[in-house]
Amino acid sequence: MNFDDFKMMNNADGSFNKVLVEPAELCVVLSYLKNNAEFAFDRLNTIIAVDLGVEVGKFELIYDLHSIETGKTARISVIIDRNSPHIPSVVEIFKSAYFDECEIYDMFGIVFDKNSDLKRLLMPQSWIGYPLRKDYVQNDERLAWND
Amino acid sequence: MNVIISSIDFIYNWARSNSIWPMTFATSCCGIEMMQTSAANFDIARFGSEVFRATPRQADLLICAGTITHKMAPALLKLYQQMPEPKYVIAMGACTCGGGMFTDSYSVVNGIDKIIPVDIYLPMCPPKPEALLDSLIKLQKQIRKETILDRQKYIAGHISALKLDENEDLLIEDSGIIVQSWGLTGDLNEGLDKDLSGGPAYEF
Repeated sequence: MNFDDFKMMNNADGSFNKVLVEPAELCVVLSYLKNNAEFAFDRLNTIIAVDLGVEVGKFELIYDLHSIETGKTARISVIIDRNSPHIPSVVEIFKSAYFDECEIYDMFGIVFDKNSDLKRLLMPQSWIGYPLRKDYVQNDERLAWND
Repeated sequence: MNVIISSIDFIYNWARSNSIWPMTFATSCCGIEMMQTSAANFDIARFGSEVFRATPRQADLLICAGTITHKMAPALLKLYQQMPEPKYVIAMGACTCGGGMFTDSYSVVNGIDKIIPVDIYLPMCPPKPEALLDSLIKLQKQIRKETILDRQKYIAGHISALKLDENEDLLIEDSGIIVQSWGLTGDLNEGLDKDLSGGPAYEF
């Protein structure tokens, strides 16, 4: 695994680049960035999920890392298939990812493998569909009174 | 007989309409305007409504100030049911009147009249304090027209569209369909036996 890309992430003007990572390598990369003293990205700010559309057929997940020690920020991007949205969970590296992953599962239906307690966070457990997907249509007959 | 009743009505409605106690039910940005109305510049006390009650059991008026989500809907209905009669509702803001800009959202009730009966609609986003005062004056005028003989008519006009079951889930009374189970009460005891001190329970 070549980590030279990550050294170029932070530009001189304070902006930073997004680094694209394969889903299979995600855990290795995050674990390296957290534990390596050169990077020391010890905090996961947030996980952002983007639905790139039905035509493209992809989801994008952006892991927003922050280093308390150096003050730098990193953005790791993962693109996964829309039809079988599976990605390894990172709660073993960052515990705070648990709620992010539950919310992303709730809103986008992306399944985080090895997350032992993955469940809907905001919507009821009996909810049908994933509301923030581009092709989501509300057609639950239980909510017909609200139309 | 009518002379006596209309005299009683006059005194009764005069007292009632000049001491409408609202309940604080501010669920989003309209609540800021409601607070503004009760503050010194607009001074809702001029109309006898300065006593904002924090409990529904002491309130006459529910100013529903803000968006009602599906998760909040059972709470709204329960608070409305806890208010003593005669009770009145002002639907303040576009969201409570008909969903507002969240009409197509997955989580918002398209108007609180789907759940509880509404007396005054006040559509703006958010309404100015003057508009809330105006709707309060309109409500006072409506109260002054009422007569104590119309008790049955009042009860018939104040039946809520949805009901609560024993788990406090919303349901449609005719068909018995449980609208959604949001776990407002049912799941509360579920997590009590878990040890949450070390964060979520995982096997590392």
